[in-house]
Amino acid sequence: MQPTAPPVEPLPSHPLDRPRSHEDRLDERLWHRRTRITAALLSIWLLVTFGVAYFARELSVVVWGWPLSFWVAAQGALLVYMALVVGYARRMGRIDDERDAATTRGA
Amino acid sequence: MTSVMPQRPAALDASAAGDEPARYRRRLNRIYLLYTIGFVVFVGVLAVLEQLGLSKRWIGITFLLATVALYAVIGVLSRTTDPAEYYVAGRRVPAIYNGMATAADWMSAASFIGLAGTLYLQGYGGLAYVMGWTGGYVLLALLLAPYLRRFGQYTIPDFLGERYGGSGWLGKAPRLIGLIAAVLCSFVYLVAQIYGVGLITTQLTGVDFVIGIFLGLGGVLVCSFLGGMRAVTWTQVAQYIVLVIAYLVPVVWLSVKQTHIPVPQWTVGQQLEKLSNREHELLIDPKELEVRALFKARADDYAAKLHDVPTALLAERAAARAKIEQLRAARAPLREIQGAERALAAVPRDEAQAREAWQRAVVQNTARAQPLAGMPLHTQAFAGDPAGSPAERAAFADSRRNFIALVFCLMVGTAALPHILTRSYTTPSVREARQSVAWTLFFICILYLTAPVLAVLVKYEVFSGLVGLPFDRLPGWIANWSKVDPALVSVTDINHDGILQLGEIHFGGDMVVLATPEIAGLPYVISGMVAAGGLAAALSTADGLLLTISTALSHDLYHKMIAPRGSATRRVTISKVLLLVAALTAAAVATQRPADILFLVTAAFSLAAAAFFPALVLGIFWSRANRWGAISGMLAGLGITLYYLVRNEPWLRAVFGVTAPPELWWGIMPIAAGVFGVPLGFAACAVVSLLSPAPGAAQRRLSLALRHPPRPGVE
Repeated sequence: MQPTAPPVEPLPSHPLDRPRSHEDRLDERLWHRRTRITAALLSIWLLVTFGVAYFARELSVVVWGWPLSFWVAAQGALLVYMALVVGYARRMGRIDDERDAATTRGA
Repeated sequence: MTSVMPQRPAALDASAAGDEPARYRRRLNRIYLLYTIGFVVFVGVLAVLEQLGLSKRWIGITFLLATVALYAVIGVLSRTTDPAEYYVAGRRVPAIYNGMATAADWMSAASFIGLAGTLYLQGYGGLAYVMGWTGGYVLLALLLAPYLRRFGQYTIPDFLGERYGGSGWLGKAPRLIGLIAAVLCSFVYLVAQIYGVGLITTQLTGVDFVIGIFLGLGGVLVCSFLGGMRAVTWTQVAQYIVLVIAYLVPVVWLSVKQTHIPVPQWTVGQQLEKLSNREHELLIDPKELEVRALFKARADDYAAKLHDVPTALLAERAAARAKIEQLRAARAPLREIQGAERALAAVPRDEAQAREAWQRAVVQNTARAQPLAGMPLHTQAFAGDPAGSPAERAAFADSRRNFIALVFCLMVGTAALPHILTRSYTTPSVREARQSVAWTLFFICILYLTAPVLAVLVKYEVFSGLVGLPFDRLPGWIANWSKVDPALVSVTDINHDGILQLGEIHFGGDMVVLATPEIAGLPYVISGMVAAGGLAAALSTADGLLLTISTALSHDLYHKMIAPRGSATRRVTISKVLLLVAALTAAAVATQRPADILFLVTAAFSLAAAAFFPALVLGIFWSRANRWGAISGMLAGLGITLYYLVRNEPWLRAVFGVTAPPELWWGIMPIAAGVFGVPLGFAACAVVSLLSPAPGAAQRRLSLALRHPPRPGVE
């Protein structure tokens, strides 16, 4: 391991090392969208899991026999996880469609 | 790669020319629908035969042989020597079936048998497993699965090798560390599954434990040995169907019995409220207090003996001798005299033994002197009290911290276990890889939404139906199960009032699911079905793990590192041999009955989380991550996790002969060791990557290529 990093060689503009094309710019834009969606869904995941678990004692109001925090951990969180994963598959699928459509038009 | 097997069952094969995915899926739907109907009819026939007088033992044996034979037939039909078929099932398993197979791969004996028992005993504390083992799929779906499918090779070390590897021995290091970690955590997990297989087989048929292990092992081997991932996938789908039916039927039945509504997930709220009321009644019940006081007295008694062990030991021996003399003098029946002689023989032989036995007795009796037989209030989150004394406040903070740490480790571990990650490779496309995770979570949730319900219903049945019965009218299952193993169920009339108190019952968590049919008063055929479900859960996971181990060794070690020029068929053959070796080694370890099996399972999660998660996630999302970073991240994460486990876990301390005193950081229990390993792995990977040269163009190109599925017509 060197203590100082040598100059980083410039990143290839595209996986296939072609000159930056219209498609590459589209890919970058879509990747940005993909990461934004991923980050948003992950923050919901974080909140439902650790947010509710941290305040579990405070959230033990009883609704229909269930203390709220107990219900979230036993059922609510699972339903949210399922919604997150399904939502993710849908959104990403739509981005794939958009990209495929642009490609066919371009070709 | 094309198929090399001349005769393949058309039913399980879509590679025939002109066969579209939709038609393939429809054919699969038809096959598995028929299969499900067949299974239900089979159970029905056995139920009728039971009414006609078929003995319990034969019902058990029939279930065992029929299901194992079925899995074996699927294994034989799907046999293959083609690597793409053997390692990744030809990459054409439709999302829904891949989801179902992953769910069976995932749900082990721990989920099927252990989970509801843990929830029964720990209440809210057990929900860490429910949340952890489902929430991990969000990480898997969002951060790993689609990208690994886009990469599209055979194993997880493949990814590490391609993304971080290079020439020379150093270039092989990422793959090597990855395969060692994969083998380590899969093997630990495999031992637990084979142990579970042995336990269920023994209970189902009454054969010896060791024979039980090897019987079950036969079922595992026929499948994975002949057909690899292809056979395992189609068997796992079949096993999922068995296990989910077996899990749901008794719960629905119990729910109808208690509330007259067959949707237990819906009605459990009202049962929970009744259970809470009943808990508060039992807390102040004078008879319960009496039993607890008796246990407390026993604990004090042993504690007093520990003050002066030699004297107490002499006194105890003298008392036992006097008892025998007294009985002989009174010409008591022979049985009583023999009992007294056995009591004398049971007196500890020397001081060291006495000290150990009495210390254990103090702990046990103190535990049973706790309110509600040592179980916390079912819905109370965490121990202690945030508004109480300093000690109570500390207990609360500690309990909450451990709960959150455990959830974290289970989640990250779920997303990083190699046998689940490999499943991303078996789908036809990136899109289906995403859908497959969604299906997996759906199929897992069916069972995981039911487990907390099962715990509540059984607990309510015990608290209000069983407690308070006279001893001579106890249901038959109590005697049956305490005969199988007193550690699972035992009842003693401590205060000699002839009535069963909660404090007088000792339940082991593992019996809750297996005994539910009997607790609910169902015919024995349902018990047989539940045991067959548990067996399916353990076998399916064992299959997946075995395959991961043998693939890591044959593909990553042999093919990629030792002999890259060897033929594909040879590679598969070596894989089969290694699989046999791994299975027999794991069985040999399992027959030793390693002490703390559940602990080992959870440890596997921490290990997988620390070893794989940082390197995989950074490899996908951060193109600057390089070889040095990955190597140090994996080693640091794995190292600190192993250190914390070995330093603090009593069983591992004994195995490795650790003499340094245990040292807990922030009071975190050793099973959640991954909570230190994962952040350290990320930090080490990031810092070292930035301090060393950027990865080469090929590797950065790879990480960019992972971002999107291939354009149509490119792959």
